[in-house]
Amino acid sequence: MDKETKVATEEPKIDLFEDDDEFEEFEIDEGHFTFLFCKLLVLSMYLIYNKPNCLYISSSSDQAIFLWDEKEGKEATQQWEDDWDDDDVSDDFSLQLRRELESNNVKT
Amino acid sequence: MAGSYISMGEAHHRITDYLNRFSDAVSYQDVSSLKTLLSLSSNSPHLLSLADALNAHNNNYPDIVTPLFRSFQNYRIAHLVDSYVAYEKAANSFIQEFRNWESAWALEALFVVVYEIRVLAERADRELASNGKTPDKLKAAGSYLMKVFGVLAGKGPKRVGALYVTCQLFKIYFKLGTVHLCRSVIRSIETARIFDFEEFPVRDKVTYMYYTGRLEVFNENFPAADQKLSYALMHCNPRREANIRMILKYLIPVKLSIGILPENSLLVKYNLVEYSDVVLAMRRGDLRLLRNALQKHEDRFLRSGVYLVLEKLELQVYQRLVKKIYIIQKQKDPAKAHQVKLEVIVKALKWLEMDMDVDEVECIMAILIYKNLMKGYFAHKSKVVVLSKQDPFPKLNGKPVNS
Repeated sequence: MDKETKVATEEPKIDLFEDDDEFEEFEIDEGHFTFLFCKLLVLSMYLIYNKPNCLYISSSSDQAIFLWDEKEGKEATQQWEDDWDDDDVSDDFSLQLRRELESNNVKT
Repeated sequence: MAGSYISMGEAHHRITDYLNRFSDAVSYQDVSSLKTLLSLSSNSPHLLSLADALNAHNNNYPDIVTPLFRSFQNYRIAHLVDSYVAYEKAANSFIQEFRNWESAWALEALFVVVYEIRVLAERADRELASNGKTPDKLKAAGSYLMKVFGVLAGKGPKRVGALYVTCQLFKIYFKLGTVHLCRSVIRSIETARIFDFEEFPVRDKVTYMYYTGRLEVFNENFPAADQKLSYALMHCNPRREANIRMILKYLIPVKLSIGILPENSLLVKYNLVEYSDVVLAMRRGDLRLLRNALQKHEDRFLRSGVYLVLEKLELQVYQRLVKKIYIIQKQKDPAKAHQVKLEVIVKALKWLEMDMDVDEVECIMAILIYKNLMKGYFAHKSKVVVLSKQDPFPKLNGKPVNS
């Protein structure tokens, strides 16, 4: 069986693009629910004894609902600093800078 | 005999029997057998019993199922291009039926079709490319998805599926590098009155904000990019670390551009340590470190398209450096601190392995003042920057540097 392979003279045209950062697919039910309507007794007992940060329960035999504590969701959103631009010059870099400025090196 | 019960097994047997006879007739060039197999009006018992079997177990959706079977067959033997072609045919028939179903009961099944056609198209394109042919199936899948979008874009309950289809389209366009095509579908989602963004499922909103956020980064609309990527981050399932990482990968350069730094623990947790030195350089005012960091991870930053965004941070690092020089001077001699000699800055830059003469430094200082990163004026003759006594280094306060 002869496979006809054309030599690609113009590589870019038949080059396949890739997206390194393609989002992974979410499950059909994946989302944040604020209310739960079923299995409350079991759920509350589980919470009392285990105090989980997230919860994976099934609402029916073939479906599962994934819940998480909104606090955990906020975790990644709270690790930012906007007050870092202070007047502190006691760090190593600043001390080295100061030494450099004070020195009387002759430029060659 | 018509009307008597024929079991599934019996029907299957009769059909298979006919198929085999037909195949054999052609293989052995047996024209007389072939003639009898084609004689519709002969009323031969054989053909009648076959027809009864076919009527007893109807293929109710032949336009969908027949090409679908062909697609499965080809998929099984890894003929992905043939599989795609057949699947697309089935999918087109499916959307025609779907259109006629009034309620949105089959939406999730439609999602499966949309997903499968995209993924199959990718694999088909790989097969084409490996055979030296032009890959055109993913583009075709894009056309199909636009068709589906059109079917869902109406006033009825099916419209909540439109965002899912949009996100699948984004994945196609990003993969093909034809991101400009996202514009029309974004316009539909955001301006058409039939759509209420809040009605869409969270998972689709997160994906949508991720991709539109990335587009804002490409277009350097940092406030919009911040808003969208932050939304995605806030509402994404925290267990989905790969997705969180991708959001952060684009959000971090945006935040840096508006003067907000991520804590190093965040970078470590999500394996984004390529940004560590960039962040440190901003904290310190260390231009050498910034340049090194950009050089070290140049390929990575170029691939994700954030290189230029990070390169532009240089101005903010200059600001920090000059501010530190000012503070150091102020500690030594408060009265004269607001006058910064250019030659002092030259000296600091030289220490950071950046060889610049006084004129070049003057230029940069002028830019800092122009972009409101520094308040003051120039005493050109004496080569001194005279800083404002009040707030000489205005903070960005969450806004990008003036362009």
